[in-house]
Amino acid sequence: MANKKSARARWKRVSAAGLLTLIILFELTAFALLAFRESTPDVNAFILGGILVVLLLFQYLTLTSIFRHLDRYILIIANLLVAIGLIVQYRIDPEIAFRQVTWFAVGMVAMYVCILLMRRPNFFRKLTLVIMIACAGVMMALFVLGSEKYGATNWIIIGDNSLQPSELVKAGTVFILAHWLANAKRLRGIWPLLLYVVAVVGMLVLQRDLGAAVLIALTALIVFYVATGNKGLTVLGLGAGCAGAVAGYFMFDHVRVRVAIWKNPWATYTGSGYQIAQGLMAIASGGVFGMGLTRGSPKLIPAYHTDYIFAVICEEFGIIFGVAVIALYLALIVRGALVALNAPDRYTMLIAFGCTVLITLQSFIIIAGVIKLIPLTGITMPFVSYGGSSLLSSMILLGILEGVAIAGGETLEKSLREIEV
Amino acid sequence: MSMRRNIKTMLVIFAAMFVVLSVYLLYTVNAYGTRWFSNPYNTRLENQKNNIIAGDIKDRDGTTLAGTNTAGDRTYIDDSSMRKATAHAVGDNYGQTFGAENFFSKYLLGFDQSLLERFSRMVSEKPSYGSDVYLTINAELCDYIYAQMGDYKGAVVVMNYKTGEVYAKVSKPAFDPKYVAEYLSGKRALAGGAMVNRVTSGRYTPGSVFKIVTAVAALRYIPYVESRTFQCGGPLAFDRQTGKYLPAITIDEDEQTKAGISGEYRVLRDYNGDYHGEIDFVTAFNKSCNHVFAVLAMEIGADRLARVAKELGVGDEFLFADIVTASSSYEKPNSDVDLAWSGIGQYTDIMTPLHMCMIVAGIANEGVMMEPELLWDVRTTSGVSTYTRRSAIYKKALSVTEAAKLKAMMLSAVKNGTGRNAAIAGYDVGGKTGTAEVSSGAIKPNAWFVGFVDDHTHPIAICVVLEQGGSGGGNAAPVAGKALKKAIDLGVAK
Repeated sequence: MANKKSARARWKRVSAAGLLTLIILFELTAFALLAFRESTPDVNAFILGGILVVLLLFQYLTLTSIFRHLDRYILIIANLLVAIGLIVQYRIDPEIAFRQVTWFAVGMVAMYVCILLMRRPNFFRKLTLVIMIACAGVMMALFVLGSEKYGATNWIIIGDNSLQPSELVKAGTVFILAHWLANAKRLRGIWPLLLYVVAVVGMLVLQRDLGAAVLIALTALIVFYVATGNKGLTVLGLGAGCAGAVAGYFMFDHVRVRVAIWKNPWATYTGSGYQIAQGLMAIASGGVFGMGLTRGSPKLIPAYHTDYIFAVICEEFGIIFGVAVIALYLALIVRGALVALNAPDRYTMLIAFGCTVLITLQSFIIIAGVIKLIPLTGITMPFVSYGGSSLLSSMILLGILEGVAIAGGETLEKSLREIEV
Repeated sequence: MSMRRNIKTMLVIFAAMFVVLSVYLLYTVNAYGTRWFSNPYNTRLENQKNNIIAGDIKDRDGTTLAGTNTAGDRTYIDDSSMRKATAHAVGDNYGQTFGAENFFSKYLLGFDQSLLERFSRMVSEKPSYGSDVYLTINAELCDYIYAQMGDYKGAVVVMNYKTGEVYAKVSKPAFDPKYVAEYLSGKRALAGGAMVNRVTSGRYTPGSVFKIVTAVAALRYIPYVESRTFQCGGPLAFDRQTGKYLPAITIDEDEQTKAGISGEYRVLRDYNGDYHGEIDFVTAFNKSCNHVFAVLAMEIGADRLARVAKELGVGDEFLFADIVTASSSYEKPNSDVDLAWSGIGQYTDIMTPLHMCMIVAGIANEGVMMEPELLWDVRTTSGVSTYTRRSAIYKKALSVTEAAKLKAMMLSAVKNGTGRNAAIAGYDVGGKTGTAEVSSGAIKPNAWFVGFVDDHTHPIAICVVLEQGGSGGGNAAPVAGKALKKAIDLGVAK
């Protein structure tokens, strides 16, 4: 028994180390390619590649040595996704890649803080009301302070930096959901939660941030279903959401435009359909194996480094790599769900699952939008897209997940020891 | 704990979502990729033209139809009539049409070359070449057909019904690929609609060639239809308001013209007022009897007729690998009168010539419709083939028995019926004529002929449409006969 367990633990370490080596090789070759794309070698590419590898190893070594129960795979996959994003960003514009790697470092600190804070989950639980007021307050403040960017009034611009607070509201919402739904028996008591969700989604719709609105509404619904198992109310909520979407279609011009360009982007190529059409051409140009790194024309696509980065990945690395990226997200999601399943209590279980749902829906909505499976709504690709707030929020979700994973592992170990004793 | 179970359920749903995402990505690039890529809006193509010397476009015999000269400009074959005859298959260099120049630009501009080739190209800094594209067409046959069409506008397509290879794809009026820049700048005038490839984008009213579809439906849904006799005694009358069929009303031609009785009813007549008296199903097909097929359409019913049309590919979004093709359409009619007209290819029925050719090819090929192919081979400048041609079945639309029956009917329509002018000495030709009314006014009807050669060594199907060509049997059938004869003489299928 003990032998078997240690063999498993060893396999875990070896397989994770193998993965790590492969990823480091991938990062280094990609940056080497980027360094030699011009006739004079580009030292900055090596520097950035080096920084990435150091950050990855630092995270891995510090975290695994402190926390035995850390979920290595989640950490590695998230790092790989960040690296893919940085490679593409560096290839497009080295300057934004350096800005992004700074945000990655900031996000890393946030992740450590979250892991540490999750050692005392009740700390967050006590703060629920504060989080709730803060989230709702930020959303309201956007009406006054917000500036319009890419058609949505959801940016706060401070000097040269622009922040998208709705990214952080997503993570906050997970805590709020988990708090109210952890005691699912008293459904009557959750009206503050309902009020909060309706208010936030409503405000997001008014700010034309449809992607975030859909994301938060669906996340709330899915977490509600998982916590209560109440199919009737879930279907009712889904119906209300659909009715809202249909109403939105008839009420707002920009929603109708989104649907029209989804049906046929080519009809309005010079206008609203331009982005989708350019994305599709980029994906088709890449074909199965891609044009090769630095051989594509990513700058033709609007939002090439943020929402549309998936099209750029497909153009240069091929759809085979696109499918691999989709598979990476799926692996991340499966690990996330496993963390939730092993969580020590209902509250942390819902938190871990909520984070997983956010990552799932966000990556699905944007990839499906880019490949024209569903109408496009502008949201970022978790970990991959350029954007400080987006990466920060993804790293926070990662930290929370790891925190729950550690807590779950420790609880399991404790109960096993009690049985043995 | 039920929460764990719910999480597992959701995880299964999430996994399914991501599988759908991957499968859709692969599917959509496979189905639409070439269309997106060769889109004239794709500036990558324009940029690549500066980096690479585009490959040649040749016909199946190796005749060079388009190439690049030493100055890097695109050149086209010297023979101006051949240039026009193949214009729609070859296309233009300015993204105005969906010919080979555009649709196969992936090969011509070297986008298909492997990473290694591209890398060595980059390093060597020698001028690099795109691949040569060989089309399935025979330029001589195209040229001959173009001449045979005379002054008519229209479309002719010739294909192999066993493999789907397209031997000729002629659309008139044609542009001259040599002068596209001048057309665009307005220096040179271009006939209206000359950039439209009528073979693939011409959405024509089919008229009597649609009786093939109605005949399939009749064989499938009306028991013993072949042993029945019908009375073709004159025009059919329908109620003016409701469009209901009024079998008791007979309209006398004289009476009608004298007293203007036709104003009371809506009337469906036969072409030139020919009535056939007592007639059976096969003869009705041979003589293209409107009366009988209108009655059959009403017996079959709108749902079944629409279903058969759909099974034959009407309404399909044709996503052929080599050819961009508009879809045909059949709107389900709501009244007897519309149903009757739709059964003889009028009402709002629309067919593209290529699709009509595919249906006939399917009949000749034991019910199996092949996907039309235009790409014959791709070779690098050193002559190495990098493309494997693979004939693909589009769909199995008819049973072997149904196909055999239709085939016999079409053979007899050329032997004893309206298609006589398409006959060739020494070969069995089958076919169906069509004379499609496009307007009640002074415009002459469009002439159609669809048919095939029943021969193992020359498995050739054809579709001819001549705009305002008058009678299908009189004008389209002879063009088809000559084109088939020429194709056999050239031995295109060998």
